[in-house]
Amino acid sequence: MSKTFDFLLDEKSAEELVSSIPYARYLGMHIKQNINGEVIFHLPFQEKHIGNPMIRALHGGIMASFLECAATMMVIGTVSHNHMPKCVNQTTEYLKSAKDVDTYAKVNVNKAGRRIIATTTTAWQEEGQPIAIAQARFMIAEQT
Amino acid sequence: MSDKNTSGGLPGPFGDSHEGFQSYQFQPVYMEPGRAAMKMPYNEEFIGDPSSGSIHGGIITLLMDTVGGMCVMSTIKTMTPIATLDLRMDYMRPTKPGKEIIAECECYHYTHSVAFIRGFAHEGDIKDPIAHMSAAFMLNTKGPNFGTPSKFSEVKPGE
Repeated sequence: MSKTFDFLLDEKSAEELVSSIPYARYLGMHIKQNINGEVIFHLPFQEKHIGNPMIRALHGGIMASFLECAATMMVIGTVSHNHMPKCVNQTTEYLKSAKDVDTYAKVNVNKAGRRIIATTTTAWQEEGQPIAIAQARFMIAEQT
Repeated sequence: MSDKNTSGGLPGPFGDSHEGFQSYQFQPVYMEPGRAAMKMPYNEEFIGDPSSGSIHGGIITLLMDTVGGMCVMSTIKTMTPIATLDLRMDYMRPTKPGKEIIAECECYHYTHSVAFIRGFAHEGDIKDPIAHMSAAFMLNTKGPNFGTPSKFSEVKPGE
């Protein structure tokens, strides 16, 4: 069983975190906790998220952006308090085309080292099966 | 390089009529077989780190995904429907406030089903890149064609 990390932001400070980052505000994402206490990232559908108007699919870049924002905020909330982590790299795997509905994501912190944090973020829509998975590495200021 | 297409405006679905692309303001730099480039002006809405004013990696990913898709179409010479299978971004340094971002991609190999794309994002000097991307695109996926009739069967892989 991997170590779990507590998300130390309440709903209000999580919303403040979103509104402090212009791009997260542009995407229009929210952070919520479900009844099991899990942190869920929510991207309500907006017309500007469409990448392919013919099949009404979300843009792959919007999906990657949402997953990167979600992972960044999870790292801020669990490990890198008050410091903006730097994304070193992210690989996004697209499993299914994303429809014009709300998207949700959950972040798992796989490892939190002194300088590098490794995360896996999974996104889903109404049916619940994963539509995209991202692996990302973040660099943080060394924790004392 | 006189055959570079520098005429402004993106084709159909990527054009100004689209709400997202209106705010991204992507502009084509060139498009030639196997290569494509687009640029994006600096926009405060897309800041990822308010303390430095640098642009969020997500919008650079969005730009590179778009250029990658154009690069695929320039390679197979048709606007066939395609889908991103996976996309990796390596962020080398933060962007500088006020600078436009240029994304350049090349298709270094393709088969009947998959095109492999790599590229750099930079601020004018490709020797000083912001980010590197590599991606695989699935060709001839389901869905309507982006405008021109599909001539994919006439194009031989690896030419």
